[in-house]
Amino acid sequence: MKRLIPAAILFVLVIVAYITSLLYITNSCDKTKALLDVSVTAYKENKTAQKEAKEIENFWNKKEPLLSVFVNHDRIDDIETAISLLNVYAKMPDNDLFYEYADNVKILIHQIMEDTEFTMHSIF
Amino acid sequence: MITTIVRTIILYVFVTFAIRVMGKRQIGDMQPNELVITLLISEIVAIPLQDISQPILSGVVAIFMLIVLEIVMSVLSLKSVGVRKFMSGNSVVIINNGVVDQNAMRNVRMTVLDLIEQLRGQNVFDISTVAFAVLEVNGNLSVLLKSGDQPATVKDIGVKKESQALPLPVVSDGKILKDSLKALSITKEDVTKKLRANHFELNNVFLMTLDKHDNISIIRKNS
Repeated sequence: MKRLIPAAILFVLVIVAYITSLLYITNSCDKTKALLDVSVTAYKENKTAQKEAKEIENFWNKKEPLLSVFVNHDRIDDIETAISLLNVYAKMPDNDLFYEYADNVKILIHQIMEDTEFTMHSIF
Repeated sequence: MITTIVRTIILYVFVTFAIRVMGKRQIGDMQPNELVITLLISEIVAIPLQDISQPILSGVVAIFMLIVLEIVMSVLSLKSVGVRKFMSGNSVVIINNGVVDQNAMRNVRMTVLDLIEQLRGQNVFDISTVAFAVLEVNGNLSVLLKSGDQPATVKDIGVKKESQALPLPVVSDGKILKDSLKALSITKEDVTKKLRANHFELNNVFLMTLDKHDNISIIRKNS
């Protein structure tokens, strides 16, 4: 049974890494989605959402370094680009491209969450 | 570039750890499941090494899980004959009492030329001298020659020989190896005395071996 101790330690490490990544990714994505909703509402009401979009960018920049430990870096870069474009269109009043990029960020975030979740789709 | 260098160092550490856990066997001596795990580890490591957009953690987690499976399966194999058979298969008797079992050869898909080649690998050039040949699970052929064809042993010729002791390296490249001193129950001073008795200085010794019967062998360092 002594031989199983290293295996048990490694297994616990793997499980801890999985749970940590799951919680961090879910938390970051949920918060980003919530901030996106706020910015879309602000854009609808005020025709501009510069402050709200900037807040999304700052939040994403803060979360990005640790997220890149768990998530494919290309996906993170795609979201970063989409958020940057969202910031550009947030300054322009009544521009449909703002909504398009807000949807784009949501779809990309959804893909990250889908990759992280334990589903038949992710296994096979 | 620096990213690749750092990632390579990290993955090298993990792969070395994984291989250490698996043991020191060479590829030819591995059981089928060990070979599969070795191949998988090399494949898994190649992905984050080549593609820096892949998080390194995905490779590390996969390596860790393979180690966990390897340890668990090896423990289960020790405990259960069934698991051992499932994981490694059975050894097959190819030559039984001097008779080649052609059915067994067909079952393991071994040709006569393969058999002769494997026998040559065991220094057996005449198949008629073989009493038993067993194909082991790792693919090696174990051979027992007929009693009349076996080389004579010391016991057979009745020569008395004193018991052997394992010579241990005591000095390597001018440095005394503490582990060997402990195993031989001697001190550094004993080693220095023995070197002086043989007209050597510690700095000039490339290799010195010693056994429990005080048999000594010294190789001088090239200047």
